Amino acid sequence: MNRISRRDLLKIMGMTGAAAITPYPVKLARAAKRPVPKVNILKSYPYEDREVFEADLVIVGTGMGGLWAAVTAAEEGMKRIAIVDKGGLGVSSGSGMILGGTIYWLEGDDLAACEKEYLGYSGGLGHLDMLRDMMQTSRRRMEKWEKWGVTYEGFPVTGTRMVTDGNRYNKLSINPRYKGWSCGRALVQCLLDRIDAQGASTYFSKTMVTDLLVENGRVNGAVGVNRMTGNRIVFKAPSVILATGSCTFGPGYSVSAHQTGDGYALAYRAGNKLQNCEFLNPDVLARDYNLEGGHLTGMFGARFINKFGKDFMWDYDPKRGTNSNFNKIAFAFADEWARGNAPIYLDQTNVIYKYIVSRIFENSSPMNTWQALNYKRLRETGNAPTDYPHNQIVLYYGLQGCIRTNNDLMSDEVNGLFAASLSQSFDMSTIKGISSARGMWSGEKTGRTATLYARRADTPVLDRDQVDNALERSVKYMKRKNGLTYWQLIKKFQKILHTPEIGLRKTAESLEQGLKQLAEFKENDLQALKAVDSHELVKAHELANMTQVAELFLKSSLLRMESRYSHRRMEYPLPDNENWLKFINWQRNKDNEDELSFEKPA
Amino acid sequence: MTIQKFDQNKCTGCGACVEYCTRDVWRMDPKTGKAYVAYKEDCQACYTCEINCPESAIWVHPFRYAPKMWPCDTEYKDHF
Repeated sequence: MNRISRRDLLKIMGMTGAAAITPYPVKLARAAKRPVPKVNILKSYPYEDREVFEADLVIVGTGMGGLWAAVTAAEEGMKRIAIVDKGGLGVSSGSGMILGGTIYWLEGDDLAACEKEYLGYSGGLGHLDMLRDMMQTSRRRMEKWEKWGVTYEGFPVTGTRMVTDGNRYNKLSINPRYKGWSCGRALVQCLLDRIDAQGASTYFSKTMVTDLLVENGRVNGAVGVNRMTGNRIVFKAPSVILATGSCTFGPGYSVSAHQTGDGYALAYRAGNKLQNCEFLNPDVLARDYNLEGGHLTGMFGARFINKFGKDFMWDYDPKRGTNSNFNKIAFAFADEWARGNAPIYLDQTNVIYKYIVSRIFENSSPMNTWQALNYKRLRETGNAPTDYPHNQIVLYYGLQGCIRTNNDLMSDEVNGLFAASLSQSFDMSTIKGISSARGMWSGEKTGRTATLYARRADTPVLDRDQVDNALERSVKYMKRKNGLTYWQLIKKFQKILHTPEIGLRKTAESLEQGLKQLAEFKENDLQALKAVDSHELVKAHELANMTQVAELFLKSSLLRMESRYSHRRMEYPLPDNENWLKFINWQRNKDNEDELSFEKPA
Repeated sequence: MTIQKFDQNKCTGCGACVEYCTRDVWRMDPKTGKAYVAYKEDCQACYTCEINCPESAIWVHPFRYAPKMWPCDTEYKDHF
């Protein structure tokens, strides 16, 4: 909802009813408290140390991609599925916290306009065939949601064609409901119920996969470690779906703090190609809490102000000001910082329709969901966004890199390895609903292709030495007696990565310096990383994975001598389609070196 | 701080918070059979424990630990 017309505004006011004409501080009668939905806890499988679990398919990650993969694989007849997550099932991903909007395509819709817009953001660098496939099969998935009991209702308007930057192509359904749950959590709960009813899956929560067992270009399984008990597990399976999230290099809001590029690192170590590692999705957020989408209130009069109280966004986006897109805002923040105008605040105190803003949050997530609770708590404790200007920070919503696969979302390099969610890069933040649509699409697709593969694959054979090495590697940080703790190292790591020069004002000089610092970090600090218990052990692995991904991020950024989408090189401010309309791929070769290759978009 | 209130008297030891915590903050105390906050610095205020607690024993505040980050380089202030 980038622009809002007068008619839309009236619609909103109509919806909020009397609320809109009531001055803000007057408390209205609140809706009766809804009963808390009963939670069906899917109990994790309790395993002993070094236990071998035989499965047909291992799914790493339980976001929209992982859960859809599990449901689809079971529908296709897969009997033994292991679902692994390093946090809680379904909830440690962003899917449980999103608004639940998704884009889908109906016959007669303008697919060309959608493609144009999609490619517009990346300047032509994108996977168009994947987008087409995603859009053309999206209707089927929407029908499945409805069949499974998800209903759509609420704000803004259900089933209405949304206008995104002038193109009428998609249908954005906001606020799905399921058994008393709402938003993304409703979708997750629906999938968890489906998986539970199918009975084909075994759950491994709090379990981090530390290594894939790959031999002769074929997957034989995976090794994981439990962060609560410290027990290790060996999965013996012919196929693995990596449905892990992105990488945020440390701090983030509640879900992205969990995204540490584990899937990238696993695939990379297994010999798979990684692509698009130079693109980040920057986001701006209040420093102290996680309330997303603050800049959207720009259309109601909110504004970003710098140290001198200047409403600076109009200098960077004369058309939309504070209500600009993520990339432009993040770049503006970086430029303001460089000019010495930091810190920056989001001032929502003079929002014209204060009450409407609060209704957006409350109506969009009326059940106890993340955003609604956040907003409620902030108001209760006198820290509402409308109470005083809040400090803003820039953080990385996630790396936009992807695990390179073919069109069936299967790895070309490693047989039996599939990648959902981040299989092929799509723009996450600019077309609304595209990331959940991608999760659903890639999950469904990998669920199907992995089943087909596992059916005809040979029985996996575990190599004893390889398994022992992987088991040893999974707890290596705990073996170290003297060393530095995770908290000491993560701060150092963040100092290298979270600077405006590395993320948003890239120059050859700053990137080279970053690479140098990171190499030192890898050589000295990471070698001394120790974990005091199994909880810290998982975080130690996360840090090692992040370091691996960060190295590729800096290397790719240094290579790409142009500016495109969220990649901005200060020396080359313009896109260079002649030389750089190509993807950068990295692959680890047999000598353990990073090998570079380029690929033209199809 | 994020997990501000936890009423141990209300806790029945069902383990919902432990099973669903995304960051492994909650653990079960084998002695008392009740949950406790083991790694509070990891909490990112996602409310999953609060939402899932059938006894409403948990109360989470959104202000969570964040490192110094640009363009706001001031100290994190605990508001409580």
